Amino acid sequence: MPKLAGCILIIGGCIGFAGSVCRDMAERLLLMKRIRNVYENLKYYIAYQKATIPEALLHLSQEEGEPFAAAFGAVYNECYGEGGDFSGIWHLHMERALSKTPLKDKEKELFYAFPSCLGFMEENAQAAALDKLLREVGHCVEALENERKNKDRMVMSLGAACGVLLSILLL
Amino acid sequence: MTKKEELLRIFPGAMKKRWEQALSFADKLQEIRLGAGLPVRLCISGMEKFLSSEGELRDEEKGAWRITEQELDEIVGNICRHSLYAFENEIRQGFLTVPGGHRVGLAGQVVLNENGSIRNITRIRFLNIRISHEIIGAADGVMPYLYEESRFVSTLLVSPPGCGKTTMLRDMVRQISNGNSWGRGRQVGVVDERSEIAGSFMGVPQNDVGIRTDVMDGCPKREGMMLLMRSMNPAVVAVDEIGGFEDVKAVFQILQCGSAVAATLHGSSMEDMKRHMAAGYSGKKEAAAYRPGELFERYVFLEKRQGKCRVREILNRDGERIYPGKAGGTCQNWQDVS
Repeated sequence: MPKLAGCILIIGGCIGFAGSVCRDMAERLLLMKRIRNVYENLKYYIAYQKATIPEALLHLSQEEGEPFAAAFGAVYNECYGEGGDFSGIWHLHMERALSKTPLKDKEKELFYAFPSCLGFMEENAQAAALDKLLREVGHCVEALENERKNKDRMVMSLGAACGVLLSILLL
Repeated sequence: MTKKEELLRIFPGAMKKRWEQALSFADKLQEIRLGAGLPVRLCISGMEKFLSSEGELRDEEKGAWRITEQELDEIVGNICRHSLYAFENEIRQGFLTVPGGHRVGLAGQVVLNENGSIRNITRIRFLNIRISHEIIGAADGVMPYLYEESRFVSTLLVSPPGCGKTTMLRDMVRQISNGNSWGRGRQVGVVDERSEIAGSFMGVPQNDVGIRTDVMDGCPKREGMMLLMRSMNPAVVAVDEIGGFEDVKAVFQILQCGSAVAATLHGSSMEDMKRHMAAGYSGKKEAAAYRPGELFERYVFLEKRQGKCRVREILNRDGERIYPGKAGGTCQNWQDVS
């Protein structure tokens, strides 16, 4: 009886681990979709409303949920208060906001890179500069979707199989 | 917010400390001039001073802080909230207005359109920060002469540059809008093509232009005057530096609608004024309808003597002098605004 219970726990643990891997992937996909949404909204505020970046971020802080809302609000306050190097301010707050997310460094970099596309003197050129980032985020989302489609079942099956294998080995 | 705090906000965080001491003279500060690779210069009460790297004010250039191109880019970025595209029109015109109504003049490499007009200024390498010194009550002395039966009459302020026309017009707008001893408050529309009257930042006036004042900021004078007449129904329209046929035509149309106009013009005499207003008149069929010398009810001539701005004379529609009168008299509270 204890052996059977042990096997069930091992198999359950392995399936749970596989499930958490799948959940992380789903969360990464969701976050990347939200980042894409943020860039699209920023593009709208820049091209159609000609809002300044801090103003656009203030709007987004009211529209977006966590982890972005607080970070956008903080960037707005610093830019309108003390002022300073926007790149540094952005990096600091976004790094803090994304620190507890399962995003990989390469994916986070796509968000940290936002200040590098600023500095254009015409709103359409500025919005077009955002398109490059949007495309890269789009590719990332696409890759994550394909990855998830292919890997979800495989990871779950592997998790269950590993659990069974471990049980057999331990028996 | 104090003037010092307003000016400190122009500079990015890391630079603020250097400006702390210099800006403690903010009330006497007239200009800050910055140029890539050049010493930082300040004009305080007419005296030129240099700012050292440690933030101290010096009389000599030696040891002065020479600002770098990158530092200038940071300052411009900070003024534009890191959004140059949002200030495209202002940059094209060569200036930015910052909170407090202070103006930052820009110079650098100009990019032209195919037709030769200015598309933009890139590589901004020279800045001239002109500190706004709003003088509440500057028009107190002339206001009694500008009302008839409690109604403000169309007035033209005429003077050479630097005699305080815009400062006086701003205070006139404030008084007409809020109301004073000579008349109740009226709805005023300001066409502020160069953001000098209201000193608007992001569309919000930074100077006190009164509670009944609508401001059309950054708008060409003629279009702005017509827009205000159509949409805001002002009793008085204020506009800075009119001149030429199109402006006169717009003023005439406003007067036809029953509103009054308060305007300024470069010049030093009635003849000078007529010549400026008639610019571009000849050869136009409708020219006969607009006689430049007869548009306004009052002509206020300003001048500068021994560094002080003063009202030289006020004439009525017929060219008769109503100030100084036979008994003399002075326009009180008018001070040096240069």
